[in-house]
Formats: sequence, C-alpha cells, structure tokens
Amino acid sequence: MQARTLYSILLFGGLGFLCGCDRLPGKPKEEDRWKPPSEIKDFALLFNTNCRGCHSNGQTLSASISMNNPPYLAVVPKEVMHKTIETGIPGTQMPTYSDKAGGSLTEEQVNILVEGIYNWAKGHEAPTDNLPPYSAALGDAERGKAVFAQACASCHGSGGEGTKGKGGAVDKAYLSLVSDQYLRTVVIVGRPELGMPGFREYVPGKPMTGEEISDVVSWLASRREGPAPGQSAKTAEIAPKTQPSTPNE
Amino acid sequence: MSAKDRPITSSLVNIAMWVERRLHLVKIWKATAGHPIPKSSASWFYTFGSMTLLCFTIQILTGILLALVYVPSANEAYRSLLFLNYQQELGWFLRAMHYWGSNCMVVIVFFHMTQVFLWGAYKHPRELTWISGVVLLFLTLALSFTGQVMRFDSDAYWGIGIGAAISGRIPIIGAQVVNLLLGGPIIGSDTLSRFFALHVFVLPGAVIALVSLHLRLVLLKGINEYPTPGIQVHKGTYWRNYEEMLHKDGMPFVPNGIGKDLVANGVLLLVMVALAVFVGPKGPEIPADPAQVISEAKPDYPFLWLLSAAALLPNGSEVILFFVVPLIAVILLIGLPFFSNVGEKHYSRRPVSILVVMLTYLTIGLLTYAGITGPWSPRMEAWSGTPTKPQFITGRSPVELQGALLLQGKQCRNCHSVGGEGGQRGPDLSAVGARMNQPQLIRQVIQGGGNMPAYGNTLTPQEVNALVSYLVSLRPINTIPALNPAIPEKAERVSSGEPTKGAKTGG
Amino acid sequence: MATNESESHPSASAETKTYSTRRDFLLQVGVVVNTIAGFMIGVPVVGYILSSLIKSTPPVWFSLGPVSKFQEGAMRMAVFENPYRREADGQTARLTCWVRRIQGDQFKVFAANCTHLGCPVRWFEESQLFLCPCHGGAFYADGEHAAGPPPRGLYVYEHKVENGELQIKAGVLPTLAGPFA
Repeated sequence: MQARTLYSILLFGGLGFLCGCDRLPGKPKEEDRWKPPSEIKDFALLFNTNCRGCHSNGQTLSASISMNNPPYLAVVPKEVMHKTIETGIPGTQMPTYSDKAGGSLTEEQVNILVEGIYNWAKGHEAPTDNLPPYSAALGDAERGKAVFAQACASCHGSGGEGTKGKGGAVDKAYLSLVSDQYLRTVVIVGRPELGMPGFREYVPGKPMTGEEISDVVSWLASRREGPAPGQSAKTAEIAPKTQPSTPNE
Repeated sequence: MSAKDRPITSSLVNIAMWVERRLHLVKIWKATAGHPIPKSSASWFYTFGSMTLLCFTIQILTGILLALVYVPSANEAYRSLLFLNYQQELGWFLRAMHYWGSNCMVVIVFFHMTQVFLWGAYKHPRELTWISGVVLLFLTLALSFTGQVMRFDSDAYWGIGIGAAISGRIPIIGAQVVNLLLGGPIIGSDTLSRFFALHVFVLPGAVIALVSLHLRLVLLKGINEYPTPGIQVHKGTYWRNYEEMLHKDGMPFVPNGIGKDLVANGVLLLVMVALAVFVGPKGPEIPADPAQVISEAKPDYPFLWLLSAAALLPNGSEVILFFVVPLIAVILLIGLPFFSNVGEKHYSRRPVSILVVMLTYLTIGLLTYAGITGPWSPRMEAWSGTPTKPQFITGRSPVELQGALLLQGKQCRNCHSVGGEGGQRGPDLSAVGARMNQPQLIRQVIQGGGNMPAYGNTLTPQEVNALVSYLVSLRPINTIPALNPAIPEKAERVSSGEPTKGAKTGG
Repeated sequence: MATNESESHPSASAETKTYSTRRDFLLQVGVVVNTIAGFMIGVPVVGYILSSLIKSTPPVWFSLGPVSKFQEGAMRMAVFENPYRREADGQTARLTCWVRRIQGDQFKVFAANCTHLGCPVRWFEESQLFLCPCHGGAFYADGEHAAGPPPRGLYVYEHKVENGELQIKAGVLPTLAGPFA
C-alpha cells in the first residue's frame, strides 16, 4: 500500500510537473531574449542607460539639470531638446547621441526619450505666466551687474565670488565650461533641489523679467576669460597626438 | 509455490537459463556489479565516482537530444538555440539540464579527485586508476570548454578570440596554432564545426574509453579500503592484506554496498533538475556578431578562475599561465602516485595533503569569486548610466558640479566608482580628496600612471581645474583636503603590473 | 573441419614447416599491405586535418566604401565582410575595425581586437580613448597603448585610397603571432 501511494504521488507529481512547465521559473521568457541595442524602445531603460549619469529622473540629485522637471520642461522647446540629444552641445559634457553622427541612438529612440521626458511634466505643468523666452540675445552687462547684486548676491556674494557654503558663480573654470544658454536656462529654472529657486523667487514677490535675465547672463558672460565652450578653436580638439605630454608644473 | 506449479514461470525460467548458458551473465555480474568490496568502503565519501558517472550519462542523453535540433553552423547555431529555448517543447529544459549537468560534472569530478587524494587511494597498486582519472579530469574540462562554444553567442565568439590571442603568444609556432584552432583565417563556420566535432565525437569517445579503463582498473585493483591512521602501505604485503580483508570482511557492491551511492545520486539528480527548473538554461546572449562590440566575453563558471588569474597576474605572464602552469600541473598530477607511492593513507597522518587541498580550494574559490565580480573590467555604460549619490552632489559649488559632470562625461566612472557605484578598475573616489591634494590630483589626471591613461591631451586646463576641484571636494564631512603629499612617491612607483591593487595607490 | 584435421594428422611434422612458413609469409604480406594502405589513408587524413595550415590565407586588399563615408577628424566603426567568407559563416563573416580620418586622404585603421586577449575595444569620443571591456586595456586615439595589461598598441591595418574608396588589407584574425603584429 505504502509503495503504491508513493508511486502514485510520483506519477501525478511528474504529470503535474510536465503540465506546469510553461510556468516554471527557469523557462526563458520572451522579454529576456537579447535585443540589439537599437531595438530598445523602453523609455525608462533608454533614460537610465544614456542620461541618468548626469540628469536626474527626479528621484535623486544629479550634477546637471534634472529632467523630471516641469518648470524646466515648460521653458525648453521640444525641438531644442530633440536637437540637443541628437547632436550634443559641443565643448560641454553633453555628447552626441544620434547614430548618424557617431552616437548610439536611432532617430526613433531619440524621439522616445524626448516624449518620455516631456511626459513627466504631464499633469504637473508649471505656471507659464511671465515665463521668459527660452533663448534671447545677450543684454547689458552693466545693468546685469546690478540685477545680480539684487537677485543673486545673497547666496553667490555681491561680486559672484560665492558665500560660505554656496558656490561662486563667476569661477573662471566654471564659466569657461558652460554656454550662455546654459547660464540663461539655469537662471530661469534654478536648481531647486540644490537650493537655487527659479526666476520667480530670487526676489520675493517680484519675478525676474526676460530683460533682467538677459542682462545678468550677459554680465556673467562678460566675466568669462576666453571663449565660451564650443565657440572657438577648441583646445580639446582631436589634435593628432602620440605620447602624453609630461608637464613639469 | 514452486516454479513447476506455474507453467508460465517455469518457461520464463527456462528462457532465462538458456540465455544464461550462452551469455554467462551471472559470471559477468559477479565480476562487475557484484564484485566484493571491503565493508568500510561503503562510505558517503566514496560516492563521488558514481555521481560523476551519472553526470556523464545525463550529458550523453541530453546531448543526443539537443543534437536532434541544434545546427552546428555559424549561420544557424544561434537561431537553433533560440528555437530550443522558445519553440521546441521542453527544449529549454534539456538545455538547462545539459548546462547544469556540465557544471555539476566539473564540480563533482573535482570533489572525487579531492577525496581520492585525501584518502590516499592513488597509492600502490592503484597508480594507473589515478592517472586515468587525471586524464578524465582534463577531458571533462575540455568538454566543458567546447560546450561553451556550442552556445554560439558573443561569449563563445570572443572566448575563442581569447583562445586565439593566447595561442598567438606561443613563440615560433603561434600563427600555426591559431590557424589550427580556428580552422581558417578568422573565427567562422569552420571554427564552430571543429569544436562541434570535438565536443560531440572526439571528447565523449575519449571519455567513454577512459571511463572503461578507469572502471576496469577499479575492478582489477579493488576499491580502496577506508584508510586507518597508522596503517602503512607496503608494496610487498598490501595486495595480500587487501585480499584477506575482502575474504574476511567483504561484501558484494550490489546490493550491499550500493545504497549510499543510490541515495547520493538521487539527491544529485534532484539538485540538477531543481537548478534546471528554477534557474534555467544559460543564454544565448548577444549573437556572435563581431559588429556588436558590447561584449565582455566571460567564460562559464569552470573557467572563471583562469580569467581572474589572467587579469590579476603581472602583464606578460599569460604564456606562463596558459602553457607552463598547466604543464607543471599535469606533471605533478600524473607524477603524484610515484612521488608518494607507499606509506600512510589516512589524511590525518598526511597534513601536507590537507594543506594542498585547502590552498587549492581557497585559490580557485577566491579567483572564481573575483571572476564573478570582475573588478578589473571597466563598466562600459557607467559614464552615462550610473547616477551619483546625493551626498556627492549637495553643497558643491557650480564649478565642482561641472567637475562632477566631467567625471561622468570623460568616462572616468567606467573605471572609478563614487560611493561604491561605477567601475572597480581604478580606486573608489569617494574620499579621494582626503588622500590626495590638488597638485597630486592634477598631476595624476594629466599624466596618468598606475594603470590610468594620461588625460593631458583630452582635457582643457579649465576642465582639469573643474574636475580636480570636484575631486578635492570628495572627502568625508569635516575633514580637510589632503595637505601634504601623503603618498608622494607611490603614484609613480606603482608598476603597471598589478591592475587593481596598483591602481588603488596610484589613483 | 574435424575430418580434415584427422586426415592430415599423420604427416603433421612434414606439413608444419611449410604451413608455418606460409603463415609467416602471409603475416608479412598482411603487415606490408596494411601499412601501405594505412599510409594511403593516414597521409590524406593528416593533410585534411592540417589543411588550414597548408592553405595560405594572407590578408588581402578590399574596400571599406567611399572615403566620404568617413567624417574628417572623427573615429568611426566600420564593419566589413571578410573576403574569405563562406555561406555558412553568417554574421561571423563580419569583421570590425575602427577608422580614423585624420584629414583628406590621411587615415588610420585599427583592428577592433585588443592586443591583450583579443576582446573587442570600443571607442569613447569624449575621453578620446579606446577601452577594452575585458581587462580594462586603454589605447589613445592614435592606437598607442595608454593603460592596462595590453603588451602593445592596437593592430593597424594597411590602407590606401583608390578611386575615392578607402581600401584596407585585412581578413585574418589579428593576434600577436598574426600578420599585423
């Protein structure tokens, strides 16, 4: 009897095993199947492998501007975002992503990234009243200095040299690494996650105007020594070189 | 009830006797499965041999079934593996059994060998049993390696590439060996075909031949008695004593001695099935397409330790590692029964043997672990995909944040982790500001050294400034930046020889 | 058989000698015939196995396409079909190289195989480095060894520009023993 019970358990167990094998954890799943990188269409995966090193998805901090950022997305036009991802920004750390220019993403993948990024702002749109334009010509540096003293000095110091705990905005190395457009964008949207509010809040109750922003950017740009990134005979150009030089400084 | 009462039974007995009179099965049975063994040999420790045989049997069976579907052509192999995984009913299960069966076989062959070594079973008169076992070990490893090539994905492709690169280092005949290995000027269909022929015909045939010899020797020279400390093996008296022991205290292997083997083998089968069912088959991953330069080329578990050794040993020692070391290993292993032919068998009287086993297991274990984590491999996606933890962002000035961007953008993090995230090739930079001061950092970035490339020609002075100011800010709260050159000479003294350790001090 | 044996039995001593020399003779003939046959089978078998050594497969010239495909000052991956390809090679017939167009007709073409253990190196435009994913070998833009375990710089393919097309001499897996070392 006992043996018979054992055998029937084995028999039915084995049958159950065979029937259940479509759901067994070791069975390869269709989604684990390897896909060429150009076939990846998942926004989160694309963002996490290509962008997250520098741009936060809103969950953590990042060195550059967070992309899960409604005020930022309200200012930056989609076409600009698209173009920036495709070609990068020469002279800065934003690389080229379009596979037509030596990058790794297809046109379709760039579109998925752009759409996905703007989808973050859906339902959380930032107010657009008084919103200064994304880009504008430089203003007057002299006026800009005054605007800076009024709107920025409390954190960045009256001359932009920085106060304790807050960084200097006129550091030579800094200004040589960021474009005028970057300065403008950061002045407009701030870095709220790092303690820098947007253009509405530098002076309580009095949002900065587009003109003031142009002026302050122009003053910052005037403090730059040498060219803005990507605007000159770039020093980082791919000069044919062989051995690392041995500087003696 | 006797047989005569039942006509059917009696005619069955007659048939059996007719067969027996012609085949002498009883005699064969008594000489093989029913051969006498010392009672002490029915030990749990003596079950690894039969377990290895079970693994091999599983490999043969699953291998034949896989060969029904698998197409050994560079053009088709990958697709036929996908077919096995996704379309062929239970194809995935057979692939998984074959994969895990292979890993189990390597591990258990190794256990078997360890046991034989520790229990002194290789001593007189079983030298040839040991030597055939050593050859079987290498055949098993060869089967495992050629089997990885059958999984014709990028691991297989670049694995052969590594094999070719190593062979290319052999002095004088390197080019010829490469050509022979690949079967042509490049890795292609000829390469896969010759590995297929090895994996499916040559090596299994050799294993079957040698297993036959191995088992024949076990029958002829008897299974090793369970050793007793203090009892010495003498060439003149050993065999007489052994036969006396069999006579006095022996029992037939089947049915009296096989119980523990059956239990152990049953458990092993269950483990293999569980691994196949719950973990599943391996790959195939990226196809063997040289245009996909995203591969890392990692071998399967049995060879990870070799990969680690190649990565950790000083540069230029590859030829020694891949040719001289195996040669020495073969000589030592084959020579073992002659170096220590008689004397004590029990491991407790042979402390050196315990030491050897411990060192071997420790080395292979640590190297395999290192191979799994692979700290010497840069993380190729870290620069664009690995975020920085908040504590390395907050409180930084604009220029320091630009430095943080440079640390990403210039691919520094492919080799350097910050807060434990990123490549492990170079040192972690979480507290580099407390270790090195600004001039040291500038020099390291511009000149490189200690396994780091020089960035003097790719970074502008402003970029170096920003990057270094960020690096200086990377230090525990309330610590000051490194003032004096804390390790002034080391950065230059480190040879490029030790990848991970060298880079740790060199920065 | 049994009757034959009993019949020939009486003259056994006389017969044995001739019988034995005949046996020896047959044995010798057998050995000779089989040795000859063995060689006739064995030599082709060895030749077959070693055929990849006998047949010479040197690198050959072929085109990577028009020069205009490559942007000046940029490093681009180029995938080409191996000239020795066979139908069954499938994707493995493709080989990869990195092409840097310095300017005009000035090029430099690197094999993608790392000089350490042959893994595929990848170009990083931002840091101007080739990185090997296996053991972290690094090379500068001109192919020179930058860091890590590789014993030398990247393998360089010979190249020339003809009729506006970039041609390289390749088709053999580059190793330290190979034609590009």
